[in-house]
Amino acid sequence: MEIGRGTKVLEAAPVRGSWRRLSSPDDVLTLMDTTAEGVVACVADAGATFLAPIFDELTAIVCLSGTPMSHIGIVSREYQVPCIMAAVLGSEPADGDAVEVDCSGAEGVVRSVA
Amino acid sequence: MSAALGSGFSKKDVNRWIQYHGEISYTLTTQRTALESALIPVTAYITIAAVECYRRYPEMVQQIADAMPPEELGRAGHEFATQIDNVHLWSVPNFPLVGRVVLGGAGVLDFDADAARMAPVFDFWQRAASAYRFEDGTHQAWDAGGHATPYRAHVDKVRAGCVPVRDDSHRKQITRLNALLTSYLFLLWFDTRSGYQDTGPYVLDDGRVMLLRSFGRLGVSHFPWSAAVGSEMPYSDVLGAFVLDGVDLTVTDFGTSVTHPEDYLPHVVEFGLFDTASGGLVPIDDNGVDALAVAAKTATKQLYRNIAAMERRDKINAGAYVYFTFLRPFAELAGVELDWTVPRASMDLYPFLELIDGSVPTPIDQVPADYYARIP
Repeated sequence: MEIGRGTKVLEAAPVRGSWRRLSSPDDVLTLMDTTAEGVVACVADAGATFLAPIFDELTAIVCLSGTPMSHIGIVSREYQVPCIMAAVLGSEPADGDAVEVDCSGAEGVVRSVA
Repeated sequence: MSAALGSGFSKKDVNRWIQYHGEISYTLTTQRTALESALIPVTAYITIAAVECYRRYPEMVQQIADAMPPEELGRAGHEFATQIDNVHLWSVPNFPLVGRVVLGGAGVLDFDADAARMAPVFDFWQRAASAYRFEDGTHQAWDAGGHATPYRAHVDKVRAGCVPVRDDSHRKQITRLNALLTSYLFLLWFDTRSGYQDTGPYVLDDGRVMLLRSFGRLGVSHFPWSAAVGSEMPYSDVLGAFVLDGVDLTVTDFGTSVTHPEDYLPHVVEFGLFDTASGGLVPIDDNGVDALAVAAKTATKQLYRNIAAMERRDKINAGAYVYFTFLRPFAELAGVELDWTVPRASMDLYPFLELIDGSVPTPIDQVPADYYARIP
């Protein structure tokens, strides 16, 4: 079931992972010290630095602002991590919920996975 | 000593450049929109740095020009690792112009003195930018439809040092290194894209195009925070050369490439990596690539931890220093010692500006078309 959509940074096949809202550097440091593999990170701001130490491990990124030319969009392009910018969510999943990020169509789509 | 910069500029001349930059920067900004980071208070530090630039750059560019003509500084950007590049040139007039916006918003912009402050900056910039662009009548990539090819004289030598992408493993190695360096430099430069710069398209004899990506100041530099993480970097300045097949490439005046298709990495058919710290091209082999990737990952983790532990005000001052020192490469080339201390000239506004939270971006339709106000 679709729960949100936005502007995709680049074409990518659907990927699935565990939803995680990241709000502070401490959230990122926690993942850095464990693992960010399998995580679909949801962030509010479009700066590139916030996710820097875990970027290469993330499954996908959902950013609630910005454009593909925003810093986080640029870095996701270089990592080839599926990324949706200016995403509008109908309802936000809870941390740990399984989601799919699909950047294969005209827009990037976030779906919940039953 | 050279003639006073901007001495021949009328108010009309100044307004013409204000309008020119306003139109371009408006578009670049609306393409980018949000710039805040949950790690770094970007908007606060930009406003502080911009005020410093407006109030201090006019005298600083004069001191630099007294030591070396702006044209010579612009031409220096045709060599590697100088940091005379798209974004550093763009910043020379645009940071003071943003400062004008901040001061105007605060009601403390002195329009009577405004033309005299901006004229030297525009004069310095337009002479350096024209020379950087080979005196072809353009000043920025924008004027040329997204083309910036300062290293055109070196293309054959760069191409000769590139090797075909062998297989998926090789492509992954290239992709990972490129991404790690890009991300690390965003962090090292406090969420600015100025640590790495794209130039191109360099059209090759076989019809393919080459993108050249300069990764600058990877090691210990004048950034105080680099000392704790940069000493293990095996190279300080490197150049990545991407030969692309079937890709339409342009670059912006921020030094960012725009490609169609957007995902250009599967279209890289040849790649080369060079150590450019000496100004020349020294090929880096696969072992060097791997060592650089490991070092970038390690440095990123440590730097992130260090920045996360900083107080908000320290982050603002560090970011303001990054922005304010965009002029520093010009001064270093000219051999001029200048005071790069910040904050210094923004203390009257600092208590207000440091509180700015840019996490809620300005909607595009609320950005005025007259992005930089002209002088009445």
